[in-house]
Amino acid sequence: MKRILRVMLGVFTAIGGFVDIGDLVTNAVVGSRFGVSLAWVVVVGVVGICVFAEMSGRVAAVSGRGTFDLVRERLGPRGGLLNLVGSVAVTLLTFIAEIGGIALAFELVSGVNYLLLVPFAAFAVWLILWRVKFSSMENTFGLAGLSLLVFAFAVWRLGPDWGELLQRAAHPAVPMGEGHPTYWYYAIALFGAAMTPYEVFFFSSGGVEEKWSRKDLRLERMNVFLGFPLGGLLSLSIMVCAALVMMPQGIEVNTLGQVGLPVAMALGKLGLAFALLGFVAATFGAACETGLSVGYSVAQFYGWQWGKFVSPVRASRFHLLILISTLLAVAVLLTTVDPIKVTEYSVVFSAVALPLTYFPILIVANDPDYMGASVNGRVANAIGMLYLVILTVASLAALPLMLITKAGQ
Amino acid sequence: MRPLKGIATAVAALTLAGCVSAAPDDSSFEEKTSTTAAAAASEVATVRLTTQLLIEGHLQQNYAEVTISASEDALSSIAQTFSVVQPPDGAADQLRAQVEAILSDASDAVAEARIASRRDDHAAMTTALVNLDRANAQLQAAEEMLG
Repeated sequence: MKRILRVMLGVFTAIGGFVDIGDLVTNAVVGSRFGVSLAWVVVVGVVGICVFAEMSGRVAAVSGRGTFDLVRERLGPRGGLLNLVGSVAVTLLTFIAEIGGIALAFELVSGVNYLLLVPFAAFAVWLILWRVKFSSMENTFGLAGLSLLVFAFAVWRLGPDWGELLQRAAHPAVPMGEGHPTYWYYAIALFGAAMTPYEVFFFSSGGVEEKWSRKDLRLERMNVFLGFPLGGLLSLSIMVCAALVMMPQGIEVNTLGQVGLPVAMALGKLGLAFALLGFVAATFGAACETGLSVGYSVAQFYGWQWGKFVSPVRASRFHLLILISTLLAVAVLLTTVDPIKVTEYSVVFSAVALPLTYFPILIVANDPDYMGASVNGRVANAIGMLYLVILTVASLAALPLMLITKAGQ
Repeated sequence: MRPLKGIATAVAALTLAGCVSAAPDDSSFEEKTSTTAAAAASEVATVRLTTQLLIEGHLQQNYAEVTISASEDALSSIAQTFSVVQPPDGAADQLRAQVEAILSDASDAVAEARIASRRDDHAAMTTALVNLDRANAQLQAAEEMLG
């Protein structure tokens, strides 16, 4: 019974923790402009994140070491540093977007301008990262994030023509008024949002925090192969809501407030209250994950003590990094830069950095010196290699498409 | 010193040129106008939907106010950006004046919705809906004519 509860908790937190500000915004923007014609990208992205999260979790469970610890050892300091700089830059950008997202979510609740809320949001994130136990943090935000299931209920209440919806998703076409470059730009943004690099840093480092071993591999796989696809369904629900309500009215989503309107239309105030709880939980949880991921990456690379499984005084440089990142996020957001724009750029730059993150994981997961009998099998390698090609194409195309389309305009 | 002075002049010229959005020919100006109309219509439709949901009791007051204010700010920014686009000739002047008038009507309708929603005045919100519909129709017509 205890084991079943543990499995369920892991799967539920994986579902609830799957969506972050990047998923919320990008799926809603795409739904409002392209309907469900880019739904296939979410499926491709979810399969990709499952494959690589399973690999990174397995590496953590077998070796007991974090991703960047092994990246430096396997690729050498110079190659590893390139990976570190690229990945940390993107994770930091995502961290800024998440803190901005928390402030925007609280603005919708309180009516207070988000700029006034940014310092409080950042302080709350820092305090949680400093004081709260890893498992408590992960479970609380993961379970609260389940309230985003309200988007799936909203889709059902909106009563779409399911046959037509499936037909459009299965036969994607560029809608009238949109160009092919814009379509592909948003395909890459959606892919970047689904496969954000921090997710694997957090997942594998979390495995070390929770002292996973070989006997936890089954649980780890259930979290990944059940939790992530169901989390992907939440992303699709957000997209479908926007496609059903916003697209027919010619509304192009560019604020967090617009993301929740279809839920209000379908389920009223109570539904919207759940959506707001989901926004707060998703952004808060992801802010904690990205903040930790910055600390994990740098500390693991340089061999410093890291993690929440030791007291802050024993991992002082790790916690100092988190503090500096938090202050930097506040400074950037107080320049009045639009957090939604930061989010949109963060998912595209995530796509640019994807090969830097996933290539070393594939190498380490194939190395019998680290993995022993748990080395990648043929299927994992074949899918991993296929995804590496997709990641590289997406990475190379992201910036030219951003320039050609003026960031998706 | 001379090369430095040249660079400084070039930077100043580029900076000043950046203050006015260039539109070198008629088709480019029409494209910018169409894009402006579409973006403005999106904001007006957002305010319309938000106001409708507020009247029906489907939305919290704070949520509605924040969403309407964000659209009002975005609409103001869209109108401001359009106002600095350089029209290439006399015909474009006329088009510019027409679209600016539509944008002004749209801004008024959005402001009306914002005021009514903050006062929780359902009668005024219902009136605002009519004006928002009219503004949206004008913007969509402009977009379709030029698109």
